[in-house]
Amino acid sequence: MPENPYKSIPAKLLDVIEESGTIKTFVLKPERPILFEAGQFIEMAVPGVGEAPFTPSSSPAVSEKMDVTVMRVGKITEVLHDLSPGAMLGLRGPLGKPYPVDTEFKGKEILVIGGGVGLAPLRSLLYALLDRIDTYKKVVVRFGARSPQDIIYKDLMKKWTTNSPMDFVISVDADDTGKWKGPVGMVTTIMDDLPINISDAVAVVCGPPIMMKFATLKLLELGYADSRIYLSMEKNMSCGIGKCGHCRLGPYFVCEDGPVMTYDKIKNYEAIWD
Amino acid sequence: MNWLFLHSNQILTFVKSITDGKLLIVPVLIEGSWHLQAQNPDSINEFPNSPFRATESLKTFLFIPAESVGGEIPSEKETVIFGAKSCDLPALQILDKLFLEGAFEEPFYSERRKKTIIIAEDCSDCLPSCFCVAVGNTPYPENTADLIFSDVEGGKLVAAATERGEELLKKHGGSFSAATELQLSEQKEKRNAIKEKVKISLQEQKIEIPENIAEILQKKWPDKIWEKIAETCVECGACNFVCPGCHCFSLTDELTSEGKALRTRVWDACLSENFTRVAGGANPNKKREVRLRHRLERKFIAPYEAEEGYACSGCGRCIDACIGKLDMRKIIQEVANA
Ligand SMILES: Cc1cc2nc3c(=O)[nH]c(=O)nc-3n(C[C@H](O)[C@H](O)[C@H](O)COP(=O)(O)OP(=O)(O)OC[C@H]3O[C@@H](n4cnc5c(N)ncnc54)[C@H](O)[C@@H]3O)c2cc1C
Ligand code: SF4
Ligand code: SF4
Ligand code: FES
Repeated sequence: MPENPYKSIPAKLLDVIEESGTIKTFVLKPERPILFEAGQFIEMAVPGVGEAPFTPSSSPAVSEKMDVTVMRVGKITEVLHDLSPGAMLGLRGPLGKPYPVDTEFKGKEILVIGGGVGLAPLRSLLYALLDRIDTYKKVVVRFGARSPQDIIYKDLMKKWTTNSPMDFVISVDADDTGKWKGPVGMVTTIMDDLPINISDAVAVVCGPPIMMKFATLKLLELGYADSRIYLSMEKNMSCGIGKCGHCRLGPYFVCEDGPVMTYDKIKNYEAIWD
Repeated sequence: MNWLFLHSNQILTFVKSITDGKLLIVPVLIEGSWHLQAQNPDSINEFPNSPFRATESLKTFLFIPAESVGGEIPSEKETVIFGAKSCDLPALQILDKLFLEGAFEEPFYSERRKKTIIIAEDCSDCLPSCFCVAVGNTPYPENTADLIFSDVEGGKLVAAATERGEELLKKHGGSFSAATELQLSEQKEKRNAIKEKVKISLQEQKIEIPENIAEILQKKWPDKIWEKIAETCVECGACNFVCPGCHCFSLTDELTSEGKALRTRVWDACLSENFTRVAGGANPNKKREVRLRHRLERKFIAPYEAEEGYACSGCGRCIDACIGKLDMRKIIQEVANA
């Protein structure tokens, strides 16, 4: 008899870290380890309340604990935000396909463009890239936040932007603190003059749909090939296993064929950014 | 296909022997329409059959409308379904591919599918909504069912279309003889006659379905046409629920009165507005006409649901179910002529 793919693995909430006014990181200990690769996601359930898809934000190399960073936006995320350590949650996964960090990315220059809560899934990708940094020519990260206060993982970001093998720059749409020393403007404004040899590079984009759209258009304008742009598609999801139809995009199930999809595969379908 | 003859005085014995101890689902006439319903095997006194497809499709018994899926996978009862028609079968191929293949097998469907024998028979009549012949289908089954029956003088012809069907015939084989040339030509004649009948029914309703449906739907038609077409759709999802091949669902979580978490898989409908909405309100299929067109695209454009051919078998259930009087045959015609 096959396993029941709808059944959650119980996970204990060990810690809740406040990242910003609307974002918290949940540190979970699943009853049995959930081995995932960067780019894959999980369905996280508040038992008896509901499930939603999230991408772990912790390192894929760590299996006994898992961090999930969640923005409060609706029914389930609100209930999640009210939970305290000790609560029991449910996890299903890993689901979907990972970033090809050991195959297509190998030997390449890697450009990562992120925005907003998109930094959560990207954090696990960046951990994975750092673990094998010698296999890439370089890793360049450009990240956009609404304001300095909206930047999550502040300590880690300080470290990664100042002292890491990555070329990492953060911009803010507006500086409401008066103390911001970095660039001000949408992330697309820090995408010119990138220290990247485009013909030898792949690009990863993850963030709110509107940011994904403009960042992709910018990449195309810069000359990136459609098939080298990896987009993290956010669609309504329920089953996460390619059966329920919610995440349909053309002939694809985003949960199964994605959630990371290259632009060439999806560009001809309507409403990919909605 | 290897056709065998079953004499009319043997039919009941055969039916009894294959249904013995199993859950039996048969077509039953209720207030003028045929419904697939459970029946006590002891009360069967003739071959269970209907002239055309029943209101319920096979998915109702294999991918049931609501099912508790959060816990253990129950062991299902062996079941036999009679009354499957040709237009019920392509959907089974779609559901099999979706639920049994891919990275995950759907264990609840799989368990039912494994334990269910499907018996199909030629149509002897059709409904005004039937249009199998216009979408590359026939009003007689040619594959997928375990056993296929055709009426002939003095009994029935039967053939197996699956391994399970072969085994059934072997196990209960004593009573069959090889079909004669005469019987095969009688079958052919009857089959041609019902095919003609469906064609004439369509002609009488002035329904002409073009051959290049996929092409017609793929063209970027002005949304205005679709807006007008979708005007009477009330988003009830009935077309989705009655369709043998529509498979969308949602998982819902709730707490039982004892405080236990319950997860249920329930049929869902791509025609409903919230089907693709994400937090924050973004929704690729926000407009009703987009959702309606999306449903048609899924039925007629390969490889969305089916690798080749159409994913719609022309059963007409969605036409009968629509309270907004939407008829996909007319929609296709309207779009083709726009
Ligand atoms: C692959 C993937 C990874 C994601 N990773 C993260 C992450 O790391 N951090 C984060 O904060 N958010 C992430 N999201 C978005 C997150 O899933 C939604 O914010 C969440 O579903 C909202 O649930 P809700 O009940 O609070 O919202 P409501 O608006 O009340 O939604 C109710 C239900 O609608 C469905 N739904 C609504 N929005 C979405 C959505 N965007 N995607 C899928 N289903 C949705 C869900 O079934 C949800 O339970 C991810 C989405 C996807 C598809
Ligand atoms: S659509 Fe064709 S196969 Fe289906 S019931 Fe009508 S006549 Fe029979
Ligand atoms: S789309 Fe309508 S006619 Fe086609 S198979 Fe489904 S219910 Fe039958
Ligand atoms: S979420 Fe169910 S098919 Fe993708």
